[in-house]
Amino acid sequence: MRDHEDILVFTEFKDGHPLKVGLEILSKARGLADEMSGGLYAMVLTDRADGFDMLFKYGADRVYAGIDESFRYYTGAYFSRMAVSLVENIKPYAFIIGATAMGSMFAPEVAAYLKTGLAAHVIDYKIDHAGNLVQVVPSFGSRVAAEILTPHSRPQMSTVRPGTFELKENLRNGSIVHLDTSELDYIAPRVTPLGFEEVKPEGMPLEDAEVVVVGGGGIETREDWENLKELSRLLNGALGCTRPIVDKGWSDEAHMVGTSGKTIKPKVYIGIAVSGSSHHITGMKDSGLVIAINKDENAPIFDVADIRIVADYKEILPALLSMIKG
Amino acid sequence: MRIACLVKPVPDPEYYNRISIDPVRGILTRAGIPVVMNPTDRHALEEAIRIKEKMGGEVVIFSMAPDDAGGILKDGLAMGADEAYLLSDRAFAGADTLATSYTLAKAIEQFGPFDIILAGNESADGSTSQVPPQVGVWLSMPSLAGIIRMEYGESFRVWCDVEEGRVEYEVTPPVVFAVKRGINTPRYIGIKGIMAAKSKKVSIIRVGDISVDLDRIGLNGSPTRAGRIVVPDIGRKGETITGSPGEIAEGIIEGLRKAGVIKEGMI
Repeated sequence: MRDHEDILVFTEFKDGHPLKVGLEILSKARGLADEMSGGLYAMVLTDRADGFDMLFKYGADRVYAGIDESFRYYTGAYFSRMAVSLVENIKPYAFIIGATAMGSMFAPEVAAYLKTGLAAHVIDYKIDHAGNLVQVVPSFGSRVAAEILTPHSRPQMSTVRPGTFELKENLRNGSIVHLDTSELDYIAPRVTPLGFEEVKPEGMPLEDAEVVVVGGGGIETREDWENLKELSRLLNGALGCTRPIVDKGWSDEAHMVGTSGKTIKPKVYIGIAVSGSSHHITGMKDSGLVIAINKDENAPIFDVADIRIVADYKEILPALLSMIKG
Repeated sequence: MRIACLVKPVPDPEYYNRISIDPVRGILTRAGIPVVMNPTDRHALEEAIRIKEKMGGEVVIFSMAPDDAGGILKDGLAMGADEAYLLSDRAFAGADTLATSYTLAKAIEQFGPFDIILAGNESADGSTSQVPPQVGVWLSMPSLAGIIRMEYGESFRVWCDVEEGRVEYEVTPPVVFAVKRGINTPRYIGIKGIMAAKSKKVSIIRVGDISVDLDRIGLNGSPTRAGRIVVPDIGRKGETITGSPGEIAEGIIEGLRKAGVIKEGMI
């Protein structure tokens, strides 16, 4: 172990602003960097020279910024080249990347170039007495948590899903180091971004809602689904779903809660005809009050519920709707 | 078009609530949990077969798994793939995503060349999404993941799901594509497919059959090590509400009120 170990965080930017997940990772990594008496550095690839202040606000000592028109959208060849160069140059102890759509392409690619280990979707970090970073990851949905170590290669790479860590301000007087982008002129990518098409999810975003109503595989008809929509609207909440509803075509992955969907922590979660696969539970287990309605008393969702209702939702839902409507 | 499709056998996700830890040996017990084709990979295979149907060529399955995974690869052949390679050897065991992607890439290289490598975006068990992009690095091919739509002709156009929208890319093969489940609806395996699969081959590939650096495969080639495994206690001490639908509805509203999400006057 060296006398100080630095942590590098890739903070993804969009339209001149850092995504929240990057700030969440900085907030968490600040503590780790302090424990190692090292620096906390943010790497940014962006098409605008804006928004770096936020990185200092959440604990970055230094920002390595590559600014180029070609960073507007992700192109693996460009992003990986920049990251590999920077890592080889500053040799960080750990390199952490947000598990966004872009980060999920970028992180494995960089790890393969660097021939180092990559832990996916870390939920906690510790430093063990040998000086290795202990990366705790979920497996089999969230049924199991496993510790992943990368003992013999550096950097120890990992990804973190949005919403995993709390934001914590820790203002630093940091500096900006500009990355040289000239070597990109020699790369001819065979993947060319043509543009971005915004897809506005219907209704309130799941991540922002205080109340989330989730419909599961036991919802029988489209009409029932529409009733759930009304319930969520009456409660000023959002409507989420599990995989079977997506498969039926009533909703889409942007509204799916779980491992391959969203992670939510609303004040109140209401699961209606949700069985509670471990993939779904991963995405909702940190909710405040959990209310579950299912006619199968053995449904796993009841293990993580505060209020259990063993009943047919078809009987409860009309009563609930009419009571709320008065 | 020669298309390689990566397929992973996984414990059936429907049964993950039954996974427990053997308290004596500290290892996972998956006894009685059936193994199925990773659900997302079925969509990758469907897309591979559609590309073949439109543009001609062949679809070859690659999988790294124990010998008994042959049945799952047979399902893939019954869907419409032409050939399957099962990479199975003790020397491959203990591989993390880097060693797995290296081994798959070496086999793909050996039995290639391929224009397209298709894979599911993530596996149900590990859900890391790491193998497809890493296969791309070993083969010096670009990769895209999170693909929700594809158009093919002279060049490929693909749409990747990202936060708040989709990014459209134009791609010149050879390339690695990882697709999401929303991209298509996989076909049912019919009796015709099952009959056709009888004459198709699943070739078992041992370590000696491909040209690999032994320091890059299996546990030796894996930079990560698994430490302790724990089953987190996420259970809650819940209360059960019973009664008539009206009484239950009142109980729910009481809960919402206590949680502070119902303001007076709202109901």
